[in-house]
Amino acid sequence: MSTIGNASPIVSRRPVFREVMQSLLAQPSGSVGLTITVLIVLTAVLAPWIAPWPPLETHYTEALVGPNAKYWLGTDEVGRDVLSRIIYGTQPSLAVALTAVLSGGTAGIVLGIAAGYYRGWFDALIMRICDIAFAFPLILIGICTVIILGPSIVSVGVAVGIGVMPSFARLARAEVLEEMDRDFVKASRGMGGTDLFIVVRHIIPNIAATLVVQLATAVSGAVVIASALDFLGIGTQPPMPSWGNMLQASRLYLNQNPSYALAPGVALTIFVIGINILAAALTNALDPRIRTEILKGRRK
Amino acid sequence: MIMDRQTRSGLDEPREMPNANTPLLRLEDVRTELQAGASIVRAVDGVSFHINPGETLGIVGESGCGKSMTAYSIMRLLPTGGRIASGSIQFNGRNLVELSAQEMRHVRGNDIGIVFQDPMTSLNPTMTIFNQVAEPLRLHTQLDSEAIRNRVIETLELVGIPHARERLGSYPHELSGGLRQRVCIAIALVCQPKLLIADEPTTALDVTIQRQILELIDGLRKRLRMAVILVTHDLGVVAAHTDRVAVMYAGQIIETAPTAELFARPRHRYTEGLFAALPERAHGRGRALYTISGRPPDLSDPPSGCRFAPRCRHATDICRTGVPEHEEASATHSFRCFHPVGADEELIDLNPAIETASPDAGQREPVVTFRNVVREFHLGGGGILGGKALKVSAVADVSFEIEGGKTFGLVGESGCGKSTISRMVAALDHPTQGEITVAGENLFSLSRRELRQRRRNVHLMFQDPSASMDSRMRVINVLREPLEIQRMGTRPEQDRKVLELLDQVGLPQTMLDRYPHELSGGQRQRLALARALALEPDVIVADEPVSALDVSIQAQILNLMRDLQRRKGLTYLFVSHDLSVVRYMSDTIGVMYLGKLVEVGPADAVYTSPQHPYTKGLIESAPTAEVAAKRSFVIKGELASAINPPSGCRFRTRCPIAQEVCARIEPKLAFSGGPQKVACHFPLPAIPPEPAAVH
Repeated sequence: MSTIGNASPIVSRRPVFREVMQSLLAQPSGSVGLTITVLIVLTAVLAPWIAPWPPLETHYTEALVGPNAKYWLGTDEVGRDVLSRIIYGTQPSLAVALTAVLSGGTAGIVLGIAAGYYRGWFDALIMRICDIAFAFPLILIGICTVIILGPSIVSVGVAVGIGVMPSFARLARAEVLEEMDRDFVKASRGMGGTDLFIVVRHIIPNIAATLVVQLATAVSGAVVIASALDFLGIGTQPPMPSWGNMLQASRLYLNQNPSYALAPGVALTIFVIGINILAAALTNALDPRIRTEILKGRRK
Repeated sequence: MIMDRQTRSGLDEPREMPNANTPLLRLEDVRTELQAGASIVRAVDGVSFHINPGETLGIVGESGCGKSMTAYSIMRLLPTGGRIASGSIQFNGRNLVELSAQEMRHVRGNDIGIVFQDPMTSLNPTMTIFNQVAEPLRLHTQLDSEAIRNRVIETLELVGIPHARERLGSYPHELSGGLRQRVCIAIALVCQPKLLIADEPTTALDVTIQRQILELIDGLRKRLRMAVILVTHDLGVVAAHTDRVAVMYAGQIIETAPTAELFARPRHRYTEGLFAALPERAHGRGRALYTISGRPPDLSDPPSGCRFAPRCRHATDICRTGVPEHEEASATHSFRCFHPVGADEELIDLNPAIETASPDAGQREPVVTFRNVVREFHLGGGGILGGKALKVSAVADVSFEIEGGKTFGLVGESGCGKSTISRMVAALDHPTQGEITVAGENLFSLSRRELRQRRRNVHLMFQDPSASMDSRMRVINVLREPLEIQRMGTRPEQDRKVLELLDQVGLPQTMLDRYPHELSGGQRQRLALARALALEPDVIVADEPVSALDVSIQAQILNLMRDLQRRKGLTYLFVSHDLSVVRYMSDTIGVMYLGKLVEVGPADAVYTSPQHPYTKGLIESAPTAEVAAKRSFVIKGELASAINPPSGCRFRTRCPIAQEVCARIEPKLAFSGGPQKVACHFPLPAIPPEPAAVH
């Protein structure tokens, strides 16, 4: 380190980002998952332009008709176009899921990492709080949240977030405990690494894979839970559509227009599958060892 | 306890014994392929050998050369994507390759038994010992439950499990590692197979236990007249416990010979190199170790010609183009090499001399000192919930010093406290009592911030280089990490340092963008060494730095470590279970037993004339690559518990010469006629070193 100069002698030539994208798309689950996820986000954003009908427009004379050329998925009990409502319903469903998973997930992960890293009384405290939180019915948490924050999509998101938080805390803690035993973590501490450095550089990248999958799974759970809260009149307020309240409302009309009930279910399923397989493929692409295998064609 | 084939209870119909002159097992040109995506790995590529009844065949080679795959091919226990592409495996008159899955199931565990490397993972933790040993009997015989019970007890006694009757209901976690491996052997033997395949059966065990297990297998083979295939990477294990050896390289057998002949006169250049790379063949510390450069080829795309040619010092054009055929050196000795070691060629001195005499004028300042260090771990109990407080005495009153620029070697079985000591030197653990100073400073009296800065003075190197490096960081980030942590220099300065480090350990700059898994084992350990040097520490603590490596790579790393020590005046604390490695590396050796330092002194004195019975037992248990090594001193049993260590001398429970005083009074570490200190009431006499032993 004797020479003085400003130019680094090392120029990295390895296109890491491109390798990640290549290996992501090389996996069938990666390309399909990415396509589905992008389409769903586009649907939510472009709803006003792509929906064939306004979502609130009623056609009483044509209530509960089956799929036809005019209404591709038929109509609901007051004659609103199901397809348009599904398309518009993407917005609140996506919003709730993201708020819930990002708020609850982040808080849970942070608490879990701290508990697993520091152990001791802090760990015991956090884990007991998680035990207690698991015991509360989500509906109760939802009602309390709405009383405090007022009824809105955001409060449903926060309520669901509180609901999923303990599972993230536990998972993150378990993963951290495993990483703490790794030699490279000890090595980093032996070189004088601070707690924050070790967590950011070594622990988070190595537990991210598991957490990403859990996040994706939680998204689907969040949409379903949100629909239950919608049903109680806490979340998306009728007549605004969400997949959740459509599922709830349609169950009375299964015989008249089955596609009314099926459509939100199918939409939810596609959404969940898309995000899950994308998450799985992303985890593979982010792991350098698996990435090499994929790029060499040794693994699909 | 002796099981006689005729009078034994249970399976009564006498099994037809094959004629001793016809091979029990004969492999003809076996090829095993593993499908990995688009590429095909030819793990076993045209292997032929035979084994006679009652014979032990050793299969040796570096990792990844196909020796385990050969063993699994015989059992047809290949991983997913694996298949035997061609060849025949004749066993007892049947071709195993052609058997149906059901017929094959009846061969496994019944005609052929197998013992795996790790007894911790090859037993089911939720099943009792009895049920696990009885399982093959239930699958392969029609014995009633009474007969099964008798047979299980008999077999457990046969493999030397004391009080077998009372252990039937035990679970694996209630047994020690050595006993667990005995249970695994019992499972393999309970149906009285004609062939036992042991895949690295002692690699996970300590030397004293290793010796017990190998002698057990040897004894059982003679008693039950079965054949044994011993798969191992350890030439020492092969030397003492096999009749014939097959050396494998890159999926092929490159030399087979009777054990004594192979060790006396290897013909293939690879075999020669393997032997020469052993530390015990270095003729003392004055010589560098012989190394084999490079690494074994990728078996999905092996080189044409002789597969060893790219690494061979004698390779010529013919080696790179032609494939050497099997040549007969004698009726039983064959090899495939174009330029074999000449029949009359002296095994030339392959070890270049190095200057060892680091310029030391007299005594130097100690860089590391341990004064009456005690480390105890609490196992719970004694708190608010009551119960008796349990504590493990991991290190008990240990004192020693390491002089600057020297190497202190620490040996002992696992659980003796040597890793605890190395962690304490690196300040990753703290003593319960006592004082540790590094470079004149007591690390444990510093504030957190000061300690973080002082950490640059000591670096800890781990056993497994792949575990000690974050698999998500590229080489450049691995090497930058210590510099970033200690905020040394600007980014360009750090990068220049990174290049300098790579150069010092002999890694090319093209490695910078690689991930650790894209390096070979040897390259990874070089990288670990480069990282250790990054902060220019005074002391490097190396905890088993070469035990995860093959001999040829081990030699490269040991040479490099000694070279760096000379150039930079480094002080090493070198921890290993391998005595020959420690002897080669160290100026001073400390021997630990159950938290106590039992003998400490100059390396050659401790090794050639040990005064503590434990040291002597360790040295004699360690397998060395000498066919006729003298072994007289046996350590019985296993390491006692550190929760309630024995009173007086902690070694007395296993000591062959212990007397009543040993249980009452703890021996102090003191000189006893030799240059080393020893803690024993009855130290062995010091043998004055022969002039030849001084290097």
